[in-house]
Amino acid sequence: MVNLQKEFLDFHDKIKLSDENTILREKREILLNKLSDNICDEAVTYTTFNQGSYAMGTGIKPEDDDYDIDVGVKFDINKDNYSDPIKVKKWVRDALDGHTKSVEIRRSCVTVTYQKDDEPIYHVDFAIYAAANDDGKMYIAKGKEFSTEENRKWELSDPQGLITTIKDKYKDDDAKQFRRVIRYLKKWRTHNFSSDGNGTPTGISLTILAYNYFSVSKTYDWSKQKDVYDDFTALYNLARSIKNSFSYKWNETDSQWYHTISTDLPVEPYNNLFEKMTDKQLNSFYTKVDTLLTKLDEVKGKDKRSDACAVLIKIFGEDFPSTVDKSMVGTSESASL
Amino acid sequence: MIFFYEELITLEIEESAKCKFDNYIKNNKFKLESGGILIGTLNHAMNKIMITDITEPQHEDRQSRFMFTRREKGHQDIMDTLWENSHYTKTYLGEWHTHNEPSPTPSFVDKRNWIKISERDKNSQWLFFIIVGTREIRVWTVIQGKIVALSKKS
Ligand SMILES: [Zn+2]
Repeated sequence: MVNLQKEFLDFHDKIKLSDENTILREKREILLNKLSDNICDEAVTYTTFNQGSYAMGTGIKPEDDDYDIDVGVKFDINKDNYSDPIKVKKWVRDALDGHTKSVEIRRSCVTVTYQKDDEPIYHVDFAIYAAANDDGKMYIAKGKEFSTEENRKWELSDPQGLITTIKDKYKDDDAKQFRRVIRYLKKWRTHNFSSDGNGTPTGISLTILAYNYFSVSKTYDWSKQKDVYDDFTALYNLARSIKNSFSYKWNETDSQWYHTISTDLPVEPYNNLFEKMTDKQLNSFYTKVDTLLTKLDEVKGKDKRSDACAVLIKIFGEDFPSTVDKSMVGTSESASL
Repeated sequence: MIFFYEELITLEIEESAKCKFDNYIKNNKFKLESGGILIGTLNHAMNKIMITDITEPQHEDRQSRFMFTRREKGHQDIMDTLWENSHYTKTYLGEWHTHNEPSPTPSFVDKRNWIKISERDKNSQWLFFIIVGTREIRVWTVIQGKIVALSKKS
């Protein structure tokens, strides 16, 4: 097969949502200022931190331009003194209200959506935490404004532990390949699943699959005295390991065998990240992983760069570069008689 | 200028390349046959090929009233430079030459040459052959050993 490392790196440069993304940083700052200026007197002190894929260095640029910014807000409160978490969410909602078209209390966060011509251009999710609890752990405020009592609760959560866990798994250049491969998987997801609903694995579930099954793929080049990374092989091996981690399971209701998968968040609350997907949806996820492997095998069999790229463009879309080998123009002769 | 062959492939000739062809027609430069190579990029997702550049007769080429012989020299250098400058996306896409007739058709020599070039299998799977006539430009390709004409999209 052809060496495609340069193509993969160019692809990565194109899709990555970099840390220095100034637009996102500005939007976040505007809202954080708004929050501190307008928050009611009743509210207790808080600190904020970045969370989500952006903070883990695994974000990709959205194709529909609906940027997603995740901010954590840690209030210095003991959850036992605030039996209604919605009260705390309202501090944030009310402080940000009136600033844009839509500020909404969702189940797991307070979401500010900016729109342009009725299209969302980006949204900022504020996850609200109680951070001064007896057990020293953090709890996230769950529930909507008019949720019933049992749907309003404080849930154990460790967003910063999650970021550290992901960030500390590998070091330096190995960590960079780890993050690149996560981004490739996410781009594959964008191009192979419908955009909505529970039929699509979440970004965090793909990240944790990579956390569990990725292994660094590199060789040492003695002549250049440095490591040479092979992202294709890293991705191939990861896809194969993910496929192998599915189990074959009988589903009573559907009277059918399905390939299913489960994987737990490596920090509190250690929940199964695929719990919201049905067995049937998991089986379709399996089929897609299997197709990915078949296509990557196809890439292995190509000796022309353009043919290998053609297959990869089918997997990832047109952000993957369409490169060609050096051309051989040869000679040519023509006559009009 | 866009050409297509059934649902299989679309070929777009970018304005800058088209201008060069148009100059032959405008200035009636048909006394000697001219020619060169076609260079461009592949869009796999859309089955679309874009001709971005063409080469014109180089010093080593042989031009006469009824024939044009293109050598490798000169054309290969231009190709290599464009390949590098395009981050390795530009490729050889075929040949063009002129005919001193309004609506050009390929000669026996042309057809034999096109088939031969298509059998080389070193470059793009799709190769195109353009003849610039005194009134119009026509495009052909070779599919499974057969020469077929592309249609112009109006
Ligand atoms: Zn001819």
